[in-house]
Formats: sequence, structure tokens, C-alpha cells
Amino acid sequence: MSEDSPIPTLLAFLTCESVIHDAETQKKTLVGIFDRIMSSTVPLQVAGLGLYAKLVEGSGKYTFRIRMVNLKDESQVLDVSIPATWALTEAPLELGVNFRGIPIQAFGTYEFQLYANDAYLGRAVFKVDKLELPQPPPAARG
Amino acid sequence: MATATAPIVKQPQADVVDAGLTVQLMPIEWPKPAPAQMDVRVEVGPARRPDRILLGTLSDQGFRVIKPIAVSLEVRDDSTIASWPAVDEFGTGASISNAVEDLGRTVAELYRTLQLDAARLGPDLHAVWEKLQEFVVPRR
Repeated sequence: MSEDSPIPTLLAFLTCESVIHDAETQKKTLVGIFDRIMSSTVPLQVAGLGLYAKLVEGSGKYTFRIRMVNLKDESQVLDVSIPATWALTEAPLELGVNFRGIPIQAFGTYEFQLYANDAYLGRAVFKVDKLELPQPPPAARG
Repeated sequence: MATATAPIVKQPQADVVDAGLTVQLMPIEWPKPAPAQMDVRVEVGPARRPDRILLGTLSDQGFRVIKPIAVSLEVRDDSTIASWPAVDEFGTGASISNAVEDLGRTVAELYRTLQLDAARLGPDLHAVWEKLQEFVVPRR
């Protein structure tokens, strides 16, 4: 971690089902951008959750930290640290991270927070709502 | 016996245009990224609620934070209070993020106010003005 690296500016921070990174062109494709998960029961594990961040005005070495919390009580769900080198100052930096099996213990609102060298940059919020299935009509009796 | 009839539609002769143009496909060499030495650390599970945070944004497009702002966090009733004692400002919200974003907007407003009166500030406000400029710069 470098103290001299400037604090970057966060342009976009999105949650989706998956971030696909093309190895040849370096382009990233976001599949299924969402901000709400519907489930009939909890606890659950989110099968696939991708996070995409686009940052500008940075250079040098960083440790990016992604922290997920339950906004009901700010309890932490996960904490991920990712080291990265920002080589081209004039170019944006894109982060694409895919998670599998994030544990969700309760319905409510959750938040991903993004930090660069421990400095808070921004957040992405999503909700986990209860899926109410329609009741079947009562069986007709003859 | 098989019979054949003339087709209903006859395709006209194609007009061939020779403009002397040639198209050549060139292979594109994309730069190959250096293999990344990733050292990703993942922690799953509860952790202590932070009582301070380093703020790297004011949530205002007009300003850029050039030095992380050490913000104290406090919970009162259902609200979180984020304060920057050095400039005697605070923000509130239902969560840490809401509170620091409120603080950021307050600091941005303070910067604009002090900038307008920079030449007429008393000693205390002048010290606040100097502290603000140490951490925040306006975008051009």
C-alpha cells in the first residue's frame, strides 16, 4: 500500500450477476445488473454476484477493499482486499469481482462499500426481499 | 416424364462496379497484460463496527479529496453521526455511508461559503479555511 497514491474518484459501482472479462480486448461485460434479490426463504446463498467499479484520477499502488454490510445494524458479511497497480494515470481503472455463495442471513438492505488504501470512495446498495408466492385457488368440490 | 417450366423470376445480370477499391484485413495486436500477482484476502463473518473511517470523497462532483479525512463515527439512538473535529462539522444518517455522505455535502457547502469570504475571515474561521484546503480541492 502506498501513501503517495492519490485518492481516486469513483465513477461507477454496480452489482450484477456476473462480470465477464475478455482476456484479449480487456473489455468487461456486465451480465444482469440488479439491485434487488427476491427469495422465499432465508438464510440463502447468492449463487452469483458480480461487482464492477470504474475509477479515475489514480496512479500507483493500491489496496482496494470491498466490505459488505447488513444496513440494519452495519454487521459485516464479508471483507475482501485486492492489491492493484494503477499503471496509466490518464486511463481509468476497472475492477471486476465475482462472488459465489455470499451468505445472506436475513431479508433487508445490504451495501457494498469500496475503499482505496482505506479511504472510503462509495457504495452500491441492494435489497433482499421476501418473495410472496400466490396462493393456489381452493380446490372445487363437486 | 419430368417436365420443367421456365422460372417465374429471372435474376437480372448484376452490375459490377469496379471502383478500384481493395479491402485488406489487418490483424490487431492487443497488448497482453502482465500476469497479475493477485493476493486477494477474503474474510467472511462479523467484525466490530468501525468507530472511525477515512473519507476519500465529499459526494460532491465539485470537489476532490486529496488527503484522507479522518472521521469519527458515533451511534445515537437509530442514527449514525460522522464528525470531522478539525473543522467542527458533522453529518448524520441511518447508516455510516449516509452519515459520511451528509458530512461530505456539509464540508462542500462550508468550502464554498468560506471561499466567498476568504479575505474577511477571523482567526478561527481562517484556520478552518486553511485546514479545508489541506484536504479538499475544487475541480476545475
